[in-house]
Amino acid sequence: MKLIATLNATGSSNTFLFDNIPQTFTDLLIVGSIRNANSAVREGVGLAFNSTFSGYSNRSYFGNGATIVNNVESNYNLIAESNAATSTANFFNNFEIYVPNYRRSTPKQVSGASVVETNIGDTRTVVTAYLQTITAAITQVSVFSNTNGTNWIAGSTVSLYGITAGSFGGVTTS
Amino acid sequence: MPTPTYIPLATITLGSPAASVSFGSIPTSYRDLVLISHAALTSGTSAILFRFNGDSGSNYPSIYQEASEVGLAGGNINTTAIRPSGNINEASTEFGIYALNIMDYSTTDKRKSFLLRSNRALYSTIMTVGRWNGTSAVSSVSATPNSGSWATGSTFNLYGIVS
Repeated sequence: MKLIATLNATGSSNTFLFDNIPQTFTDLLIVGSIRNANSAVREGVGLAFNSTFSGYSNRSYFGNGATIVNNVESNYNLIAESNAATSTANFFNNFEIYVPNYRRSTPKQVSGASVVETNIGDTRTVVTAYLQTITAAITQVSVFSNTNGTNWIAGSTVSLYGITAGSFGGVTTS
Repeated sequence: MPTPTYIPLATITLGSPAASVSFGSIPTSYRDLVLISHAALTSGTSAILFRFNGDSGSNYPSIYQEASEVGLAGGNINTTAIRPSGNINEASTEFGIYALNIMDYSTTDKRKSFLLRSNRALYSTIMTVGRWNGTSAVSSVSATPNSGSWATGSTFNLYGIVS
């Protein structure tokens, strides 16, 4: 696994944009520690490839320890959730997004997971299966605030990693 | 210097359909294993079976939670393979992502814990956690559709995590 880039929020943007992604890896991994300025406990996190903001499908389950929700979207982009302004102060949540075979000329499948933590009793885990129907190789990734379009606050960071498949150590395949 | 991780051990990309795929002779020099499968069937739907060391006994107790087209589900199962309790589908419909983490795979004094995330955006997302009852080091991992064959273009990549 190799770090491609890390982006740090300044408080003036609602998007983390990774551009000119090298076409030398097999899969991509995106991890982040984020908090949003939205006046709510949480903010939705959207994901888009190559500046294309359409062609999404996603299925998630939301769990808060008492209730589980089965959520499916066909034209709304939700890969994860973020802590936001009315959650406990200074809480930044984590998320992870995995994109296999990002260079293939096929629709892009993605796995996402996040947890919004707060001491006010409104925590929630989101696990997502996501699909975007673009078939071009991914050269650009946008991670954005998608509920209210509000900015990521300073201290939020998102990192993009490349993972390369290969052979090493004498493992056999059949 | 950071310790490297996700060491690529072996990769399978199917140029033609296959009934099963397997990784063998896995070295014991890593802490954990990660198997990333991005796969579909040639036709129909099927469960997917992951097994260690060829063990097809009822040695994979696990619990799962699932959100799918048919609703929410969860429970505990003990089956003859790791099953996400969901179905993979044919390649013309959607490839699924199956990320299998096997912790402490090379130890010989404990049973092996695993975590499986199974995702098909058009059908389901499932989390499965469990253990393999074997105490031997995991030296092979196989992935087999319960029925049918893996489709051309399916990929299976095995990584070692350094401790």
